[in-house]
Amino acid sequence: MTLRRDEWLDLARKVDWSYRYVSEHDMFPPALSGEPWLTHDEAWADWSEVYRTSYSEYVRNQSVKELSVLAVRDALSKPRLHDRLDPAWVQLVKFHQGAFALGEYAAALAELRMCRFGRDSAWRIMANLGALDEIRHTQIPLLLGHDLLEMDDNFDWTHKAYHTNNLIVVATRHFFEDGFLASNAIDIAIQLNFVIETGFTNLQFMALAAMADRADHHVFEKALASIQTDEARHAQIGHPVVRALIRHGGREYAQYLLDKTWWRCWRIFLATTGTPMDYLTPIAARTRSFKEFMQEWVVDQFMRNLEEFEFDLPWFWDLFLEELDYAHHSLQLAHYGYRTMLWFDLPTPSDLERAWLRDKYPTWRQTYEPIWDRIEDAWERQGEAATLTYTLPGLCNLCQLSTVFIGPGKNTACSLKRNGRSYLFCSQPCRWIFEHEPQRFGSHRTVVDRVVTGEAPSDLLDLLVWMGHDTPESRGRDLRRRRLEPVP
Amino acid sequence: MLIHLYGFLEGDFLGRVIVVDSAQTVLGLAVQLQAWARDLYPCPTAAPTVTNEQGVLLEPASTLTHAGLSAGDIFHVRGLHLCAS
Repeated sequence: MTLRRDEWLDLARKVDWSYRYVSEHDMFPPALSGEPWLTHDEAWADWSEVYRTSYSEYVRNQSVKELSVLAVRDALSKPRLHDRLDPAWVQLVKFHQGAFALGEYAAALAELRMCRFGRDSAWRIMANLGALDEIRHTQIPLLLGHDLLEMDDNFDWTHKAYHTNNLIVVATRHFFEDGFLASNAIDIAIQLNFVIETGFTNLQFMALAAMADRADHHVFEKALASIQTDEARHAQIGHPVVRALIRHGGREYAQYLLDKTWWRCWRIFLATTGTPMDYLTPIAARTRSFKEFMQEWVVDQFMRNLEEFEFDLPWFWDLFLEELDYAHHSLQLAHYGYRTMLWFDLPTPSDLERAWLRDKYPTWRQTYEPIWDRIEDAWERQGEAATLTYTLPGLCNLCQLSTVFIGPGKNTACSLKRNGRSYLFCSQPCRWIFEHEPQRFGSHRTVVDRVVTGEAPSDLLDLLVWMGHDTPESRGRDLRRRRLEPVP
Repeated sequence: MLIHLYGFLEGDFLGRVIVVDSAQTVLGLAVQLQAWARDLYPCPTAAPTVTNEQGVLLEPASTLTHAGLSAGDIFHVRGLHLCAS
């Protein structure tokens, strides 16, 4: 007799057994499984995901999705088709590929950690599928990046970026190593599944997919949308873990992880998604501003998560809301000034783009437009050299990003002395996270720290090489003006 | 002794690393920060005010050591005059 799916799936999901040769504690050590450490019987036996998937269903579904992406890739792989893409959009894709492709691989390793050290078999099985998902999410951008090499050599940063000390890559790597690679199963379930995948990945895989569609980059759009359907499935790991934690005295810790991850996500996504959305997307493809996407697709979902578990709003919420209007615009100016340290090119905003920015961000005209005006003047009067930033930026010892002004005249940078060392932070939330876990973060050194201690070269051209930009072609330029060689 | 400080100039958009001799004056430090940003802010005031992270006004003629600034500290420079373009 053949059992129907519903008759065997529950049994197959729940294959926890009693350990005879080692204790449960040794089998699932706190360092890898997470804390509070609770026995399976008391806390984890009823762990359950809402949407269940068998392995055979998974393979069938993924096969269809994979074929769908590959079919679009084949149909659109005709020579010179990439040439029709908007030049600024190409830079957005290059930025995205370098910043995230191998970050997805870090997520695969995080899922694998839960696959071994998650506290219930249903959790481990779901994480196993999640690991397969994330491997796919690494392979797809690597494949597309490889295809795009025919139009631009710097698409090799899709794979190369994480093997360099590039300024932005150090920040993304720090983020993924903290949240994914150097975390235990419980922390990963909250950080990766509960916060990042139920909220922030909407920016990457829904908002950006919609923009890619309107930018006529249908392979990229199809790949992003396909990835999002995976995320929606394995993101559900987070909820039952949070539920168990709250039920067994872990509410305060869960709140900390939630606050910490929200802030870290906000920092990394404003740099890697906010700036390209508002400055590299063709006007016709801008369905919403970064701020609007954040409000509608990320904040709303986050609020629902908070309400479901009666979590408090993060203490820095007002600062976050204020930054929505400013922080990524300041960072874009920083990126433009340091463009030789990037693997993609950046434009100054055109008249049409300026009008769009003024419309979407009413304070932009007063705060940022005069600075772009002066950059344009500098180009006209003195040439490219006057538009580059030659001082190093102050880098935050937590998020690793440039310490920018987050409003007109509003500088949130702060410092901390600890064990004879001085640390710089872009904001109070970054310092707060550091102070919660000084042993975890205290020994890491920013690029600036490395220059100061002599580990990295202080000469700017040597520093570019140290960051992986070993040829002039590998360094970012003004997108529309290109470069007048040599740059002083 | 050369030290590095993090300077934030009024009207600028990011903090900059400034390497400076600790025997330098506070005013000299402000001028140095303004000079690095001169292409974007061509008309700095001759009498900028400098504060430390806590907002304490620093005496322009003091050396950095005397003013209490040491490696890795934050300082703010205000009093910039933006030129009309």
